[in-house]
Amino acid sequence: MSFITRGFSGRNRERDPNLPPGQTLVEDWPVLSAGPTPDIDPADWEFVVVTENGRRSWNWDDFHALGVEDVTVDIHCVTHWSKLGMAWRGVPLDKVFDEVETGHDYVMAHSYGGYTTNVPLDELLDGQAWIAFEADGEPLSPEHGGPARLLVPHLYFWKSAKWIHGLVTMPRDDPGFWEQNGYHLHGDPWQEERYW
Amino acid sequence: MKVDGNAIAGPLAEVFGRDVTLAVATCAGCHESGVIARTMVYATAMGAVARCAHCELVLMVLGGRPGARMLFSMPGVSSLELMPDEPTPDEESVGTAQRAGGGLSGSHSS
Amino acid sequence: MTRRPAGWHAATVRAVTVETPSARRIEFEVPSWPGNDAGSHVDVRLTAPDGYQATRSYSIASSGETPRVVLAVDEVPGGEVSPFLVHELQPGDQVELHGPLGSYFVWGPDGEQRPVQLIAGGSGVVPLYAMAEVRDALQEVRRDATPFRLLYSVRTPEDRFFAPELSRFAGRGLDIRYVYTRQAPDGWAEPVGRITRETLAAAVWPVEQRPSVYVCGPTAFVEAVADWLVALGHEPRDIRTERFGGG
Repeated sequence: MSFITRGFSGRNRERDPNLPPGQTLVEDWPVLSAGPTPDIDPADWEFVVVTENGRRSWNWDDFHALGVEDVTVDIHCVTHWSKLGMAWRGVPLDKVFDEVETGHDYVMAHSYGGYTTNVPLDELLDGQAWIAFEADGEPLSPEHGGPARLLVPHLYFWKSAKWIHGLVTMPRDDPGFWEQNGYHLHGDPWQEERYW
Repeated sequence: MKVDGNAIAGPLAEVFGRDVTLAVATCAGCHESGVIARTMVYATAMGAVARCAHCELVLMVLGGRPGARMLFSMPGVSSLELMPDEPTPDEESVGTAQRAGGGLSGSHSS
Repeated sequence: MTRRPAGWHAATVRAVTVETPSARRIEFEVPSWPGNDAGSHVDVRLTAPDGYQATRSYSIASSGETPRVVLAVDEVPGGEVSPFLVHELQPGDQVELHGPLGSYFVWGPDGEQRPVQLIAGGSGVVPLYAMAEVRDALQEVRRDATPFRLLYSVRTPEDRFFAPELSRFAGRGLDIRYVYTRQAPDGWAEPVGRITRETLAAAVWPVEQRPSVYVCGPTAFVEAVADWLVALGHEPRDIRTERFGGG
């Protein structure tokens, strides 16, 4: 049985009512990766949506033409850090799903490099998610997921897949990479849905 | 944080009951093999992902709830080769362990 | 190498001494310790009153069949564990250690004729120091101890770990070459700055000697050095590496 280490309290984890439970505000922007940073030229980039009805893809310029907007959101990482009031710029997924029909209720996000994460389709709509190209007024750097990442700020940030390549709709809520490895299928920070 | 298989010796020892940094893993993707110490490991507070140094395939994942339940998977390891464990001898053994790796060590570039 | 079981041990701090302005040498007494080979490491786990735990790996500076485990911990600014170990830990405190860990990045006398090349980046010197210490103890007993070279890259002279001990070893056959990356001692003839392929080539055992190489330090340092060694003609299988995080 582990014993308490005299004088050790870990990071300051006081409960801040502005933050979901167990989160701490940070000023920097930590980088967490499960693999090497892919090197993707926007000239080669595509965004793909696959449904039971077929496949649709856009290149960089065509995708931007769907309509880009600025949003300010809070982000919460399951490793306990949060950033409030971050400025992001991207294409809302509402615009994408205006162009696509599906009867499926779930989506698997696929990244360049092979990362996957699952999200219910209705949680990507109604102004809840974007494909983002800029953060804090700057083009998204590769280490933070550039040239484009999924942004789903109401869920833990591992769901905001970096280096997004496309979405595949699915009839069941199949688990993505971290969801297969101990992390919660849904991931709501306000319910503290961190692990299985 | 990019490190190597030495960095996950502890959690792997919890899984296998002994140190396995010299165990030889064969990659299910490219079929190269090499010691676990020479795998490329991406370690963060979320967990650790060990990748083949030759083809970058995910070999092993350590996840789960820290301090409570460890989750270990080997999706990319088609086989693992270990020497049998031995009782600690009275005298020091002669002979360095020489299981330095082949393909999994790749070219050392990131 | 002697096969030693890895387990969780309660360790009591016996001494904390200043190693460098940012690092401390911490000596633990671990009654259940099975001993460890030079180069192995240990996972240190701390538990907060609310049950929160943090674990970090540290190379062991000591070796042999002894209940004494010595670490040299450098403070990572903003870190969770190292500032506690450097500034808070006191003699009499207890922490949990998991180890000894690592059977790849270890060295012991083996009767091989090949020389050993140690290459350290910053606090990567710790496991290599343990190896040099074993070699030095052997040197006292046998004049034909394995020839060792240590190439040690460090910011300034004040940042050197184990400076007095390494000095003594140098007097007994350890060939030490320092590379200072920010500031060198007065009168230092070599350039100040990061190690280069040329510096490396000039400092290490020639390829024809087929040295057994151990490289330890931040990942970017280890990978640059390993790439250069291979380019110089050293066989990849003769180069053992241990990467710390932090680029």
